Amino acid sequence: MGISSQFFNDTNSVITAFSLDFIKYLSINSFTLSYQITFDSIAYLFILLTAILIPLCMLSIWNNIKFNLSEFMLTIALVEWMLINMFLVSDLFLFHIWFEAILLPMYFLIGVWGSRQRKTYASFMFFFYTFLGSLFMLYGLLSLYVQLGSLSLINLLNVDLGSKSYAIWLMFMVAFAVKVPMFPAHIWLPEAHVEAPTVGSVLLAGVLLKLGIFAVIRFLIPIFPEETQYYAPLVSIFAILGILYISLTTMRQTDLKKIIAYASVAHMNYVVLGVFGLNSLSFSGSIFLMIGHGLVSAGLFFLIGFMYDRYKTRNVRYYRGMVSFMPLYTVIFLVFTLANMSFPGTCNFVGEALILFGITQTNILISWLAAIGIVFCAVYSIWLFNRTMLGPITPCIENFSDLSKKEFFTVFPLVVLTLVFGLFPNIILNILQETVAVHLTYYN
Amino acid sequence: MFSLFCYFFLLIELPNNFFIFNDFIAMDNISFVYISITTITSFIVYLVFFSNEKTTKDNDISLELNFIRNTIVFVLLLICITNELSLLFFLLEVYSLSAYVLVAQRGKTSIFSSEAGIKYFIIGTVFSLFMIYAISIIYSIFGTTKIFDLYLLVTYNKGFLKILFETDWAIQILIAFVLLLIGIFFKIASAPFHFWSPDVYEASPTTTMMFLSILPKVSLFLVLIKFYPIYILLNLDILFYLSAVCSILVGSLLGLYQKRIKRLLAYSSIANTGFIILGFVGFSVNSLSFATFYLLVYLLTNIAFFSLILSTRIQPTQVTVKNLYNLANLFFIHKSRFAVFAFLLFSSAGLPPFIGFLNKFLVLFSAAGYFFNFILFLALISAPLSVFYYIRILKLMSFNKYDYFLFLTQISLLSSIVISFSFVSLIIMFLWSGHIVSFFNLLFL
Repeated sequence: MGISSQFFNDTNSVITAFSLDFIKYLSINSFTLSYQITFDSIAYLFILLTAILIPLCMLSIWNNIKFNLSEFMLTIALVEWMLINMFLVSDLFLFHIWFEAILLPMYFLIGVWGSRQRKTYASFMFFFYTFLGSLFMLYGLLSLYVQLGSLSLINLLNVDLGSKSYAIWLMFMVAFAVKVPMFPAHIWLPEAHVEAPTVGSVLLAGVLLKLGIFAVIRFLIPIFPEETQYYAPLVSIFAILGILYISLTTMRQTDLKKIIAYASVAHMNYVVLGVFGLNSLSFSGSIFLMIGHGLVSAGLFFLIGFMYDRYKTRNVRYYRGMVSFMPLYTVIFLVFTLANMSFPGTCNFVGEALILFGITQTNILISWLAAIGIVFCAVYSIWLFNRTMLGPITPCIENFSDLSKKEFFTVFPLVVLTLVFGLFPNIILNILQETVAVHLTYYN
Repeated sequence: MFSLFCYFFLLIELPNNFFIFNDFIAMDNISFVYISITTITSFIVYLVFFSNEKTTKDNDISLELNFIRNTIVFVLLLICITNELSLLFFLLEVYSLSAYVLVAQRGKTSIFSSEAGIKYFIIGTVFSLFMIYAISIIYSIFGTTKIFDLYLLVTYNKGFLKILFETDWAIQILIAFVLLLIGIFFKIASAPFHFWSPDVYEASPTTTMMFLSILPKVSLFLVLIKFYPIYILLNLDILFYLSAVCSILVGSLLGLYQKRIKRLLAYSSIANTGFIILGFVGFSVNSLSFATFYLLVYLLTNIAFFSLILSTRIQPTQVTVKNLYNLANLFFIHKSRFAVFAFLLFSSAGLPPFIGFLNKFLVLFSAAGYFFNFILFLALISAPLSVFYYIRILKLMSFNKYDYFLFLTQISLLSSIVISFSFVSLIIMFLWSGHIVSFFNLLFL
């Protein structure tokens, strides 16, 4: 077991930070896997995000889960383990293993502890959509392996595959597109989010959605830079479609969780737009937006979970004028709603602004459409806040209770982080500088 | 069981690479490995059999049936080391006759059982006829029925084969070898000759199903491996490939509709057989090792499945679980059974990070060199299909949607030993898979 840290400084490619060569994980004949880690600042940020969300999840479920609490904790712990693995490994095969493996605890999470009968449908939808996507990825993996003999990231950079690489890129992108989720394959997300328990939604929205884009950043772009530039317009079209269509769909929803779930889809499509904007501004914006979205969506799902725990309904029409008896809740909900809307002062604003600036450099039409998407986002966010929190008190609820101490401390860190990153974005942007610079070198 | 130990110790004493009894028996490294696999597997199967509480009740250990079971094991061990086609046929016939009896074992009390026995008997006889016809043609053309001699004839005398093909005997040779293959494919329940297995397996007692589905596979795969070079040279390896792909598709598609555990296991074993055959389609050291590895994992998984099913009895009437809904809500009733089931099901489905994924991936990878796009496409299609029916069982067990609660008896000590052994060995195999496969590598030429 040797630890070697190497900086790769070629003229064409630079792997950020260092890579640790752990045990020879598996070696079967010619097929060797070593558990190599590539730890750059993007992985660092995502691991931090995971690390802050998981304890908050565990905090929120202490008295909420009515049965099999220990198995629930075990499932969350498994999810965390697989997530951290996914953000660290630099071997495509290992990444694929964890990419598929994380479906299992989520399958159980949604199916066993979900709240209504539709959970089975949602669980299977989630599982099979993502599983089929990762089958495409497996196909791409096998093609790469048959041609190149290894799937480690270091060996895969600077590789020339000829015209086959375009097809392989598509295979990979299908897998990641289902995970993001992008337009035609996004249907699993509202189902999964709505039927999942609070913690399930938080983890799904907070971290799992980022996996697809993280895989694009970590694997797809370094290995296939020209194909990425070739396909970028296509992906941008699907992303824009996603943003506009899904934002419009969000406006008609009556389930609290569904609104936030669809909003997650829209934001993730924004991030995809940023990643495929092919310049440093939009790239840093996309990473920033991912962090921000992780915090904000998690907070929103926590808040909706509190509502559901009290009143056992997620129907929007039952809630009105909650500010009168739950002012603390309203304030926090307001902060998160403004963040969801990318209001200046919150971290989402920095992200989306950077993305828009970046995309304007590439393609003005798309940036116009994306800006219209922001307006739609404002529509559904403000409307949601307005009709649930403000106005005369709803006649449907009799006993109100504001946030308890535990609930408050579940969302408070997220509020603080949202505002801090919104007002002092350089905290993150300084960390990202090197990585973004490295990333740009891929697009010669 | 004692006899099994004797066989095994005897085998360790014997020198490698011998031909005895006028070349009827051949022993080389890989036969040794396969015969030891068979021995150990039969031992474990016997353990499971004796751990079954109902065995004493239903008179399963009566003298005749015990003798028949021992015959089956002995015959399968001999099949591993035989070199002679007529001996192979003889042993297969003994095996088949014993199997027919075992299937119809409950025939006095259950017409279902005797129906399955007759079905198996008639169909099995037809395929044995194919085999004997094939063997007689081979003898009449080549003058020998030793597998090794056939191999030598076909490889070293390519000219001989060319002459044959230019004469009228070409068709006869092809027919002979195809029929031989069909006979063997029938025994291991590979598509398109699989149609007997769900019915027969469902109607036979579960212990018999264990004997019939787990044990012959090892020996007959060794026979197939021995035959394979001949088939390559005759350009008939496409048959293996087609059968493999058909098995995978059939096993995945038809398993979707099953509501009984034994039929589901039958279809899943068809699919797994397809994967194993796929494993040695590309005949290289790598792929054979991967195929054997898959075989091992499949055997252990099945043994664990059977132990679980046999030890799961509904309390008041001591009936075994037969339908899938009998397993409902297992997560809330008995966590450790559920954990093992989950592990086995996810592994069979081929989901990472369990060992089944490594299995399937390695087999697919080794077959990728052979005929890349089409087969991968088919295998990739069949993967989610089979995943569905495995995951559906887990849904039944854990999603708390059904009002059906089972009162289960305790698992007997022996069953728990077997189940834990299989479980642990599967995990260990995952960690040591490199060593195991390279060990196999050393043995395959």
